[in-house]
Amino acid sequence: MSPLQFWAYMLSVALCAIGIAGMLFFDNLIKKVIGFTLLSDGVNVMLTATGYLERGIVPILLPGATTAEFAARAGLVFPIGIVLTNIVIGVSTTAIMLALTMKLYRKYGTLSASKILKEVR
Amino acid sequence: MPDMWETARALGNVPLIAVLILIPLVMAVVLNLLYKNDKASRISAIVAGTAVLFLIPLIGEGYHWFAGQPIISYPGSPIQYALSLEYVFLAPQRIMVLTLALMFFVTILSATSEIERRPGPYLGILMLNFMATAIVLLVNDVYHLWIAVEIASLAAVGLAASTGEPVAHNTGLKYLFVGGFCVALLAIIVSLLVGYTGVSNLTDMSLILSKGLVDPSSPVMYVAFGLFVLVWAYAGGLIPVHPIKSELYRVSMPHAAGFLQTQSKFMIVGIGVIMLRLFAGLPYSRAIMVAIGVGTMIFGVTMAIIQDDFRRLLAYHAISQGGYVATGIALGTSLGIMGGAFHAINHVIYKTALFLGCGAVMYRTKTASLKDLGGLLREMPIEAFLLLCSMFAISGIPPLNGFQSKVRLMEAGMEAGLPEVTIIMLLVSITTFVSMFKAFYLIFLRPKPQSMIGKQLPKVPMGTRVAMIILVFLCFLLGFFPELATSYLEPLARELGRPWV
Amino acid sequence: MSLLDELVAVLVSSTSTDIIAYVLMILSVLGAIAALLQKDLIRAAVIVGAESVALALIFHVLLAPDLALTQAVVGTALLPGVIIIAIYKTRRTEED
Repeated sequence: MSPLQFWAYMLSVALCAIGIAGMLFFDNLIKKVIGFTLLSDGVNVMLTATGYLERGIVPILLPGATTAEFAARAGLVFPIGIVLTNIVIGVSTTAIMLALTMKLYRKYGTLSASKILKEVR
Repeated sequence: MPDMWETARALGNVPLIAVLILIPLVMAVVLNLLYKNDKASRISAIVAGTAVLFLIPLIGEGYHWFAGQPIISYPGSPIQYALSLEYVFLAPQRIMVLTLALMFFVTILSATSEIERRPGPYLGILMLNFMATAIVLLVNDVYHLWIAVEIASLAAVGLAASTGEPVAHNTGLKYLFVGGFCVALLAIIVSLLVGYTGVSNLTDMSLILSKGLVDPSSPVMYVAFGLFVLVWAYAGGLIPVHPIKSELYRVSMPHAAGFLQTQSKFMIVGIGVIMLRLFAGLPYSRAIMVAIGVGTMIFGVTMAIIQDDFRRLLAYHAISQGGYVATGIALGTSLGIMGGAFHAINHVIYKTALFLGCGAVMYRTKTASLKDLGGLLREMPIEAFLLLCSMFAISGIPPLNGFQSKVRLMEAGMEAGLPEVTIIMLLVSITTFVSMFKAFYLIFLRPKPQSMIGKQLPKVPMGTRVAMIILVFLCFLLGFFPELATSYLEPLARELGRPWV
Repeated sequence: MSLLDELVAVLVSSTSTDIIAYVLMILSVLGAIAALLQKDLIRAAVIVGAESVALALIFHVLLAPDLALTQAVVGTALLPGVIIIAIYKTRRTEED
C-alpha cells in the first residue's frame, strides 16, 4: 500500500471519528448535522482511496491513449461512481434534517437537543 | 454455492420489471404536482397501486440486466463476470414482491379513505417506500442495495413525519441521524467488499469467495460482517437498534405504521439472504445472527406486555415477530429459510390488518389508550371480528397462517439441534397471545367507561373495512393452503440451506 | 528515532503533489475539529465549506478529478448554503 493511500485511510478514520463524536457529544442540533456531514466526507475519502493506484493515471480515456495502457495504469473507476452518489445523498439527507430542525425550532423555540427531549416527554 | 444464481443468465430480459420500478417513481412526482386536487390524487394513487399489482404476474422470470453486456468472460478467468445492473426475478422474489404490492394496495385503500384533506404528498412518499423495498428484494448488486436502503430510510422518515405533530418530527429527526450513520456504515461495507473482491455483483462476489480466489475468512470480511450486522439490525428493527424503530411505528398514522413494518420485514429477509450468501465462510457468523434474532423476540414481547397504549403494544409486537423472521433466516438451514421467509409474508399480512384495525378504533374514538377504551363490541362488530382473527393469527392458532409459519420455524429450530430456540419461540408465542387478548378485552369486551357513554362516534371508513376483509381472507387462505406461498419459496430454501454445525 | 527516519523517508520519496496532499489532510482534520468547537454557528458552516475545498484538492491527488469538481461545487456552495439558510431561520449562536 503506498504511503499516500495509507494516510488517506487514516484521514478518513479521523474524519469519521470526529463526525461521530460531533453527532454524539454536542447538544446543538446544527452541530449534529455538521457532524453527519463530516462523517459522510470521511466515508467519501475512504471510498476514493480504495481506487487509488500508485503512480497511476486518471481513469479518463484521453484521445491518443491506448486501452492496454489504460487498463494497466488507470485508477479504479467504480469508487468514483459510488462517491458521486454519496455526495448527492449527503446533501439530500442534510436538507431533510435541517427542515425537521426548523420545524422543531418553530414549535419548541430552542435548538438544544436535551431541552427538546425534556419537553417531548 | 447455489445453482439458482449460477445458471446461465441469458434469460427473460423484458422491460416490464423496469416499469415496476418506474411507475411508483413517476407517480410520486405526479402526486406532488397534483397536491391541491384531493380527488385526482386519490384516483391516481389507486390506479398506480392496481397497475403495480397486476404487473407482477406478467414479468418474465429470470435475470434482467440493464445498460451493458450480461456476461463477460475472458480467457484465463475462472468465473464469468456480470458487468451491468442486474435484477433477479425468480419464484421467491415473485411471491415476496407480490405480497409487498398487496400491502401497498391495501395501505393506499385505507389511506385514501382516512385522510380527509391533502392526501397527495403522503401517498407520494408511500410510493417511494414501495419502490425502495422492491429494489432491496430484487437487486443483485451491493451498490444498488446501498442506494435502496438509503431511499428507504429517508422515505420512512417522510411517512412518519407526515402526521404533522411535533413528536413525529422529533422521532423523524432521531431516526434520520441513526439512519445516516448506518447508511454511512453501509457505504464503508461497499468500499471494503468491492476493494477486497474486485467486483460489485453479489453473484460474482459469492462465487469468488466460495471458490477461494480470495480468502473468505480474512479480517476484512470480519469487519464487513460486523458492520453488516449493525445495518441489518437497523433496517429490520432488531436489537440493539429496536427502540428507534418501535418509536417510529408508534408516532406514525396506523396505516403508515402498517407499511413501515412491511418494509422492515422484507428488508430483514433481503439483507439476511445477502449476508448468508456472502459470509458463509466465516465461523460463528450465523450464531451471532441467531443470537440477535432470539434476543429481539424476547425483548419485544417483554416490552409489549406492560404497555397500556394500543399503538405501542402493536409496535413492540411487530419488533418481536421480526425476531422470528430473523431467527429463521439466520439459522440458514433450508427449513429455517423457508420458515423465516414464509413468516415474513404471513406477518406482514396479519400485522397490517392489526394496524388498520387500530386505525379504525382511533378514527372512531380519537384515542388509542387502553385505559380509556371499552365496550366497542356493539358499535363495531365487524371490525371486532376481523381484529379477533388477526389476533389469533399473530398468536399462532391453528387454522390461520401464523400457525403454519411458526410450525415450520419451530421444526427448523429442532432440526438444527437447538431446542432452546424452539422453547423460546413457544414461550414468546404464548406471551403474545396473552398480551393480545388483554388488549382485545380492554377495547371490546369490558363495559364502557364513563368518559365514552353517550358519545356520537363517526363511522368507520369503507376503505379500511374493505382492506381488513381482504387481509383476513388472505390469512385464512394461507392458513388452509400454505403451499400457495411455500412452493414459490422452495428454490430459495433449497439453494441457500446448509446444515447447522 | 526510527519513526523520524520513516517520516523523512516518506516525505523524500513522495512527489510534490503528495506533499500538498499531506498538508491538506492535516488542515482538513484541524478544520473539522474547529468547525465543531465554534460558538457562532455561521462561522462553523463557513469552516465546513473551507474544509470541503481541502477535501476537493485531496480528491484530485487521489486520481479523481470529477469528484474534485463535484465536491468543490457541492461542499462550498450547496451544503453551507443550506446550513446557513437553516441557521438564518432559527438562531445564530449556540445556547449554553
